[in-house]
Amino acid sequence: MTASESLQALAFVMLVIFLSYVCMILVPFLRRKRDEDGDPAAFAWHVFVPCRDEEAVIEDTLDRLVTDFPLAHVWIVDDHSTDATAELVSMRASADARIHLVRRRLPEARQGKGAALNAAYRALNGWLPADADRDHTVIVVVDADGQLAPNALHQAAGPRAFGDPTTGAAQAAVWMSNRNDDRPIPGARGLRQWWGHYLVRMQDIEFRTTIAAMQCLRGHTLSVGLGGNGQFTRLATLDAIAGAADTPWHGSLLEDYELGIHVMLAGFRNVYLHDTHVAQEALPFTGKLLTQRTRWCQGGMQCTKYLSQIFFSRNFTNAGAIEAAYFMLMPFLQLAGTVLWPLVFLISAAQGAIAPGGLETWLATTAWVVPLMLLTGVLPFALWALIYWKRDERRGSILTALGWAVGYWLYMYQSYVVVIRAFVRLVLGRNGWSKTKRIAEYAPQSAAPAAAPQLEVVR
Amino acid sequence: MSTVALNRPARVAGRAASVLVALALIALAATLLALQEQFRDVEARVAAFLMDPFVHGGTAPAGSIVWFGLGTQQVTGFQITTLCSTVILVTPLLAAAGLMLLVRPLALGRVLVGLAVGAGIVTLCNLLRYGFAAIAMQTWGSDGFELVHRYLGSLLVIAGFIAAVILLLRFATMRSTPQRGRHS
Repeated sequence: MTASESLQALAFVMLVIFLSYVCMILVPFLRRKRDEDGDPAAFAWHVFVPCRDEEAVIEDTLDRLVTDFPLAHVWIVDDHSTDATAELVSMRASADARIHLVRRRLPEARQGKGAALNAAYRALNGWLPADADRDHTVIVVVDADGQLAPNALHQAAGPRAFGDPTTGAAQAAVWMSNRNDDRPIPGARGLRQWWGHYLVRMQDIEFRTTIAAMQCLRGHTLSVGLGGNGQFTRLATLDAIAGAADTPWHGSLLEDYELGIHVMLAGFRNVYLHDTHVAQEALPFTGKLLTQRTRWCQGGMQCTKYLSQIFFSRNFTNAGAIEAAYFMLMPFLQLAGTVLWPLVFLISAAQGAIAPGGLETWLATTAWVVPLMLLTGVLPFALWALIYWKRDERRGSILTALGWAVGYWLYMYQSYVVVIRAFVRLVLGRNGWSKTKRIAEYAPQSAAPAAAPQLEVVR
Repeated sequence: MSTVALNRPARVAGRAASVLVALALIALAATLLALQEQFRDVEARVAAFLMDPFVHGGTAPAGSIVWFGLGTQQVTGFQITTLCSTVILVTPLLAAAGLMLLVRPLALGRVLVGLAVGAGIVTLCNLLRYGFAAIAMQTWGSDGFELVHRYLGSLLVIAGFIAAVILLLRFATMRSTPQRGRHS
């Protein structure tokens, strides 16, 4: 077999593996049935909200949480904010016994989101009575701008979630709160505003279809991944992880997915809650979006250190271990694809150029590939936007749906940029990240507080 | 002697057997790739034999070329190239089954059944593609051949390959019953 044939064969096999994965996530997603609610009063609920410089959003978040979830205590972890976050929360805490402030100061502060959550876990342990029923206590992690759906605790208390004693953690679906905001960038106009709106819509499609479908498959393989927002964990499960690995949350850049791995390694199930959701701000800025995705991708790559533990674990199902391995190796496969696909094209073109008839003949004889490319290279992405339009956000005509479909296919190419950046950072050992700003902080009229050096992220 | 003591050697032996089979499957995949020319010759013989009742005239293999329409006014041959060969479809399944057996204690029998089913599907799909291409050539000429070979045939093979991958995974991972920590 020649080198060219080997590359083409490899590209074909990778394509089929990808298409197989698409089929495997699509079918359970389309066939899923609604989950039953449970009784939230059967559990104690503690919401952890890690914050750094969140004065723009924290009061609204507190209002929502205490109003929508009268059973829950809210723990705000202030990670050495330089704005008025801590003061605002402190005032609210003095007036409401269900609101708690955990203040962290440098040099202990700003060690990452995992460290902030571990601080809240310690504070909660200090606050809870010794005889607290930790099996019936659930920790909910919500971002400072997170908007948990009012039915979240009902779904989390359901028979498939914490109503099942084998469930250790659950992840709510994620929606974009600004998906229908026609002007997602404060003060921007024209093309920039249109582009920001496009990016926001694409992120909503991504989370509510593709990622949701991946989670639905994981529901079957018992390998649901946890996210950083809308994450539920049984306190007793966190105790088990802390007992085995010192702290519940760890240092990967994808500390939420990492927690999910620990939950499963400890012998508990993660479940996915598609019938409730947490809404968060989508990023309308290309640079910020690529930075966020690079961090997630690098975090995923870092999690490959758990592969051997997963393979040897008796607590992972075989299907779960294979799914988790595929998920962790996906960035590396994609990285290989960034080299492989252009190489296959160039080799084919070069062969065409030196063949009798030259490039023109080659183009004419290879035109048959185009419909196949549409079917295998465009449709697997575009179909998610069509599903989204039909099931989630039926706006405009079918032309809108088709526009979203083409847009979503093109949007997915960001992953090639992201995977290359993440790999370079991984190789260079660069782990520091700036906090992602809230959109309100970009408003032209707002006076941004002086930024202190920021080493680690708290989303 | 406890039950555990009785079961442990059996488990170790079972795992050793799985690892040996896994290595054999990976070695077989490598061998198929190394001997793909000879494999294509065999494939041409099988294709010629199976196509014979369905095409006009006789069929005959010559190396990796399948001749059909022998004894008629139009004798045609198509060559089974490396990229058209079933080797490209079966080898990844063998390697995947081997790798899965190496890294996880899967039920050996189920993996082999899944592999057999998957390999059977891709082989059948590829042979059907050869057959349909030959019939299309005789019925509609080179346009028919192009349509079946490039479009319908490719789609058939891709669909078959996807089904094979999914079934291999399904067989290999079915009925896994993990222990669930203190709740098990």
